[in-house]
Amino acid sequence: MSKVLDVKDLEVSVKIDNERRNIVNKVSFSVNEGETLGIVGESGCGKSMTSLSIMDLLPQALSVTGGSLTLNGEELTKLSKNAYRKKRGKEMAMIFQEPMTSLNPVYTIGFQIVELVRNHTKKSKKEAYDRALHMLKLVGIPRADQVLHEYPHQLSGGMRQRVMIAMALSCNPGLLIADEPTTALDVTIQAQILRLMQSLQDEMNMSIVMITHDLGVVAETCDRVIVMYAGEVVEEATVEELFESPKHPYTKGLVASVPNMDKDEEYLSSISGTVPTPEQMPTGCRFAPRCKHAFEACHQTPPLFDVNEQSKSRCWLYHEEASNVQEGRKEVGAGNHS
Amino acid sequence: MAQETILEVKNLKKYFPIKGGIFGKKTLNQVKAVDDVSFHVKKGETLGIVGESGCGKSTTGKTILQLIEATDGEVLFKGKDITKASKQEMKNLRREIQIIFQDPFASLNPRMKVGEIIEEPLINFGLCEGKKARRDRVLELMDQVGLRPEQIDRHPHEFSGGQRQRIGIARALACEPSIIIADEPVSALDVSIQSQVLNLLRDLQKELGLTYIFISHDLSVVKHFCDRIGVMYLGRMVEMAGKHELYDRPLHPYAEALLSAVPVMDPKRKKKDIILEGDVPSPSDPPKGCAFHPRCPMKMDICSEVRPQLENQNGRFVACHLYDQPTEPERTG
Repeated sequence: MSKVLDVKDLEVSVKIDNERRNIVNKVSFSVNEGETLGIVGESGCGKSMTSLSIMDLLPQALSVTGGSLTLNGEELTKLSKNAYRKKRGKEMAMIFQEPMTSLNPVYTIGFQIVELVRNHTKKSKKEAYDRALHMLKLVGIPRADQVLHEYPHQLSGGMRQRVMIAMALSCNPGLLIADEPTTALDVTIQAQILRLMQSLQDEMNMSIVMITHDLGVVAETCDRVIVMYAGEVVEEATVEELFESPKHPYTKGLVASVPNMDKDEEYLSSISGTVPTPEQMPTGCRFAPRCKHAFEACHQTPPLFDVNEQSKSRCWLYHEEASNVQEGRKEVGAGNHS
Repeated sequence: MAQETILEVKNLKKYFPIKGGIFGKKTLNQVKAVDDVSFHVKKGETLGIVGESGCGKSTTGKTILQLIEATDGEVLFKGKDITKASKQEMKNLRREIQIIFQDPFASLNPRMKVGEIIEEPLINFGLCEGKKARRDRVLELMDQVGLRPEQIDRHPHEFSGGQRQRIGIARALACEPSIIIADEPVSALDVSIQSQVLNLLRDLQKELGLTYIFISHDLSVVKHFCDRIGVMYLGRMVEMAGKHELYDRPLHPYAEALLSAVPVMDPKRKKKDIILEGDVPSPSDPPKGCAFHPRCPMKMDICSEVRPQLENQNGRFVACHLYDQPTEPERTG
């Protein structure tokens, strides 16, 4: 399988009081052809900024200050604004959480899709309209020929998200970045949209980067997952491995704190404390202050350890010499319970 | 466990007028946000109300508190009808029934310090005489919800979402309420913080014997937190049952579809079999008969004609013609 997108040591930083602080710190991952990669994390973990930097859509205060982004073998960070424009929408596309804010309220749906198609292809107006109509039908919009002439406010949230998907896919991009595509939608509509994305992926053989905070959505749609915490990748694993045996203490805490519909627990397990702000980022492991396994080594930044073939974890517990620490801990724990 | 009914809602209706005409005075239509909803809450239990956006679950919560005036129906609190209470009576009732909102930032005054926010209900209801006594009470409440005493002089913007929600909870507790209506209290929070707040709410319930009405769109949170659950669709209660009964075997086709649409944290789980088509219809023009019938996979002829009532089905309640008792055989010929 060939790599569609390859992100290496990506750094995104913001200037606070004349000091550059990394919001995204040395993030690396790749997306294979036809694969869905999930990026999970809580608010402020840098997942959205990572995706925006791939699209070169970062807010003004932020900039990519290091690393490389390769799309189909071509380096993106060195592209001019104009060249980027040509890629965006054609080779990669993005859908956002709130479709109302990403659609232009004063133009009709049809106009907006046609504009995009004509920007990227040599199609005539008539052909572009046919393409728009075809796309709206493809994403399951009823009375597509009328919707072409309607404005975004005339549609429901689920329909708008379908329009966004139709627009994003109208030029057959190889890569679709979906930033919380169903977070603003109700569960029954979410199920419709997720199913739609999956069937379109099979049909068009595209790769998807699915950014979400919802672990249930990850389990249902992704092949591989990276977990981000405070701007760093803390775990990378296949989706089966991630839910069967999460490795990093943060991932474990995250998975355990979601109420499980199949279990009956009186209390949920939770991670104490909150995510550190960029100003008060701890040195060494960024999760250490909230981690119940933290020990001396955690003052140094851990690398991403290969735990097994399916997963990697940024935690000193997976260092060869840490196994005795871990076992010692287990014994202590067992002693407490008996 | 002998439980007394603390709150009873009977045929509650809330219709919002849609105004129009040149002077905006003519009522063109009505949005039936809550349409004939009845339920009861027992002392010390947690009643969950779930549904998708626009189903009227929040309006129900606000109408109970009379933050929105009900169009029709009764809300009986300890046997007394709230909807007919005088202003003075209502003030006292609001002390006993408190509400926690979804957005903890919008519901806290940004110019007030945390201490003042929590102290305000103490002053309003004259619950604590003397400055020193009030400050002690505020500190006690802050400790109860897991805020540190040195945070008493900070403003809401200095807190994270989860902590702000704790402030909102402390403020509600200051009134020593018997019922707390929690309207999407954890929806704006990250999962790891969400579980902290849910655990806190549960602790408080045990400690103080609180009764909760928990309004949420998140089915897994509701399953975790509630004892009994009511499912709403388009302003109507379509099913009401104990949580195990409901999640093990939902009776109403909508409840079944809703449950099956929830993403499950297990990649090996089989794909879902029920995906509803279409959107929720507009509450200003709900379908005739059963509101769910245009999307229902089990639709029958009667569904588009007669509105089903919430009927008792072996101790649980469902509003669906599928469970109609065979009445007198229809006379033919």
